[in-house]
Formats: sequence, structure tokens, C-alpha cells
Amino acid sequence: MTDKNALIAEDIRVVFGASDYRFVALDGINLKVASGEFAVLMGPSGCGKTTLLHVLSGILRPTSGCVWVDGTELTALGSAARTRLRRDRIALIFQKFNLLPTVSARGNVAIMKKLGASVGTSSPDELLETVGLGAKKDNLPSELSMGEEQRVAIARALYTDPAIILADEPTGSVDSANKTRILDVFEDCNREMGRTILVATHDENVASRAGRVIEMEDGKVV
Amino acid sequence: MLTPDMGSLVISNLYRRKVRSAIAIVAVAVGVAAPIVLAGMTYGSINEVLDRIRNVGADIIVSRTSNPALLGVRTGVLDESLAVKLGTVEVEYDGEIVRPAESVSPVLVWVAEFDGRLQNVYGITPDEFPAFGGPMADALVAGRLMDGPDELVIDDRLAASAGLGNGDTVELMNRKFTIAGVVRAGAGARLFMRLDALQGLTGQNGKVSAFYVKCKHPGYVSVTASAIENEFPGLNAIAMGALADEMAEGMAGLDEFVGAVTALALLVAGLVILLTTYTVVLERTREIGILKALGASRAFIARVILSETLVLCVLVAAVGVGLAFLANLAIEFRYPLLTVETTPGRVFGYAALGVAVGVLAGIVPVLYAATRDPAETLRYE
Repeated sequence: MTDKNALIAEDIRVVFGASDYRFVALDGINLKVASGEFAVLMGPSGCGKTTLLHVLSGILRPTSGCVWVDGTELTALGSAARTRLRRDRIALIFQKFNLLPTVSARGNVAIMKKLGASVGTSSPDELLETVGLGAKKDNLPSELSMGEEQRVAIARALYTDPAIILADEPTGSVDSANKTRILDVFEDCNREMGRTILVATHDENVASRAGRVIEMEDGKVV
Repeated sequence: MLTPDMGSLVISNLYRRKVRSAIAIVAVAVGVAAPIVLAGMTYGSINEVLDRIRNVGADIIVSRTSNPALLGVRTGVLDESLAVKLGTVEVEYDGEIVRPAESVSPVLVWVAEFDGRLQNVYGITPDEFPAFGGPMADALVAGRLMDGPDELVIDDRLAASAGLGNGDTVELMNRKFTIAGVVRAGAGARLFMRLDALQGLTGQNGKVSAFYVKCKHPGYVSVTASAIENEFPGLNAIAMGALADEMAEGMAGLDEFVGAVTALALLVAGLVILLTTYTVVLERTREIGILKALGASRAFIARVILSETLVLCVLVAAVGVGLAFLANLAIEFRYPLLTVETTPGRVFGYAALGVAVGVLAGIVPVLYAATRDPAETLRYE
């Protein structure tokens, strides 16, 4: 871990809806994740973990507050610049995988290059081998189990060789053997390559691999 | 617009939704094919009529002012004996007095039912046929010209359509005729019989509808037409070329008709593309959100959707052209006497117009897709 912070969130508030239907998803979050740190966000369902990851990645603009990514104020950027920063610096692993349904597992990984992202030295095929899907490279998402879809999403995230990996329940749909495999991959990325990793999870096993656990409750870091 | 990298994504999207893509392609292709077929039938019919006029070997048609014989009205309004007088008309040309007429062919035009359809029948003296037929005069493809009063000559398209040939017997105007010969289609009418036979059959003895005057020199044509009109009040003498041009001008309104129907067909095609593209955008809201969440720029999203629309439109154009050719073949098979004129330029033009309309119609949903906020689709997952 270095002294430099990869992610900084300052007084983040996210409010959905208005008047009677107003819902405060994040309520004054302050958070720093150092470069090269492996941290987990833990907390009950609905506590705001996913919303926080979306804010940190720039998918969701907070109602108030600021986010810095590698020294760049993400919340001050326009939509196109946020998109570019996310593409070039951050890999997102979604809770619901978010694979493109019309392309194969390989295509879902390779799509990042088509989007203009700079990619690492590993090819999509190699990454799919790494997550144990070498035999299902040509399968469509509809031909994969949930756990396999999750692993494709992880391979896609690793393809861009990102500085920061934000993962939302990355082991939620996989068996214990594959959970270990995925966590080994995350650990390698963190230890060998110095990637910053922030994982939202309910899983104590995942938390045990991380260097720091950040507890959340009712939209706040506790 | 469509890079090789994007190509597989575009094609896989279209292929994955193949039923929807196929229905959209066929629906819009009909919109592209319809104007091609309609224009082909309209201009084919017009040009065939004009060609029939242009192919007549004579230079001038002389008819009653109020009665344009070529339109096929049942008429015998001029005395056949006028032919002699027309043949002796004199004009001044290049300072000399000349008799310009090489031949004067009296023709009686009648309309009669043949093979279930109304057809113009030309009554003409067989000896005059070479002068009348002009470039088509040597177009006898079978048999000979009509000799006797019970003989007919028909053109090859009518022969093919009715399944008739040389020597066959047919009934026309309640009388039996033998087909003496078949000529290549293209001059005057499709049916010819002897002038005296048609006159007798219609009770128009000594009467004709028009005279076709062939001049000895092309330079004589306009002065001869003027001289005939001056000398014979009540007669109309028009150079054949001018008549064809006049008729073409009179039919110019059909351009607007074809244009209006084309615009309507393309409007419907455009709306189908608009609906299809909008449906694509709606059903792929989540995919678009995913792509944007992964870092796809607005331009990338726009290019993917617009490329799909473009590929769809190109397929539409190809299928539309194919459908048009099939429709033309079906029409020509069912109605062999109907001329469908399909020129490459017109086919390419309508196909290109269909692609352009489709792509334009796709732009609004594409812009909508490109500006969607990824958080809208992903934040509640």
C-alpha cells in the first residue's frame, strides 16, 4: 500500500425520488482507499454498497459530495470525461454480471478493446482460462450458469488491466472452488500487480482475504 | 461508420433477433419494392404506347381534328378516297414545287375483344404494311401478311399470351379468322386485318380513321403537315415524332402520381424502420446501459445502433429489389401483355432512397439511445 489514495469520497449523499418518495441511499459517506489496497465493503442488503460503488465509478452522479479517482475529481467531470476515466482506470464487476446477451463469453471480454480501452498482456482466451472457462469461450451468456457468467464478468474486468477494480458481490453466485479461484485472482492482482481493489460483499471469506473491512449501515460508513 | 471491430457486434445483434430482423426486413422491403414495381408498370405501359407510335414507318398521321384515331375509339370518320388527294398534295420546298408523299396508308382503327381483353384492331391494306410498319415491316416472325378477308396478323406478344400461332383459328367480332402470320410487337396495334374486311365487319365501308403519310424526304414532313391542314380544313396532320412527344407531355402528370405513391411507400417504410429501431433501443436499454457503464462513448453507442439500422436497411434494399424482380416476373407471367420496364438506374435509385429514408428514420432513436444515462438502467439492480 502507498500513501497515495486511489479513491476518495467526501461527504457523499445520494437521494432518490422526491418529497414523499424520497429515499436517502447514501448519507454523508467519507472514504479513502489507498492505491494498492484490497478493501471490502460489508453491510446488510440495502445499506448502500452498490450505490457507493456506482458513485465511485462515476456511473451515478451523487446528489452532493465529491469523488476523486487517482487524483482526478470525478464529480467535476462531464459525462463523456467520466466515461473515459471509468473505461481507462476502473474495472467494474456488477452484481448481476451485466454481460451482453448477444455475444459469446469471449466477445464479452473482448468488447472492452472495441470500446477503446487499453488492454493488458493477457488475451480474452487466456483470461477465460484463468477463471476456469476455457471450454466455454464460445458460449452465449444464456448458455452459462450464473457462476460462469460471474466469472466471465471478472475476466472482462481484468482484460483492461485496470488500476482500480470495483466488484459487487463477485463471489455471490459461485461454488466454493470457484470462489477460491476468484479470490486468488484478486489477490494476485493486488499483490503482484498492485491493483486497488474494493469489493462489496456479505461473505466473511472474502473479507478475510482483504486488508481492510469497511462496515456500512443505512447509507453510512460505521 | 461500421468498423470491423463493431461489425461482429452489429451482425450478432441482428442475428440474435433474427425473427424480428426478418419481419422488419420483409415489411420495409415491400415498401422499397412497391415503387419499383409501380414505376416499372407505369413507365413500361407509357413507353410501350409511345414506342408503338415511334415505330410506325410513316411520317405524318392525318385524322379528324376532333378525333385522335390512335386513342383507339371506334371510328371511321374519314373518306378512304381522301388518300388519293393527300397523295397529290404539293408543297414548296427549297424553291421547288414537289409532291412530298411517297405513300398514303388509310387505316381503320377499331376496338374489339380478343382473348378476353379489349384490343385495338388496325384495318390496313396489305400492300401498305411495309410503309406503315417502317422498321417493323420486316418483323414477320412466322407466316405471311393477311391476304384474304378472313385472315389476321397478330404480334408475337399477343400470340404468346393467347397461346396462338400461325394457322390457328380464332373468333373476333363474332367471326372466325385464321392467323396468317405473326409479327414482332412494336408498331401500331397488336392485331391487323385487311382494311376492307374491317370496314365490312363494322359497317364502315369506304371509311377510315386516319391516314399515315410517308414522305419522300425528311425535310418535307413539317411543310407537308402544314399544307394538309391548310388544304383540308377539319383535318389534323401531326408529325409522328411530335405526336409521341405530345403524348409523352400529356402523360407527364403520371410522374407526380408515381412520385406520390413512392413517397407514401417510403414514408411507411421509414416509419417501420423508426419503430424497429425504437424497439431495438427500448429492448436494449439495459445493454446500452451496460456498454455505457463499461466505458462506451455516446459516439460508440450511436455507431452500433446506427450501423445495425444501416445493415438492416441494406438488407431491406437487397430484399426489396429481389421482391420487385419476383413481382415483375409474376406480373409478366400473369399479364404477358403488360410491359414492366425496370431500369437499373430506377432500381438503384429507389433502393438507395429506401436506405437513406431508413437511416434517417433511425437517427432519432439512435440519439435517444446515445444520451441515456447508464445509472437509469443499472442503479436499481
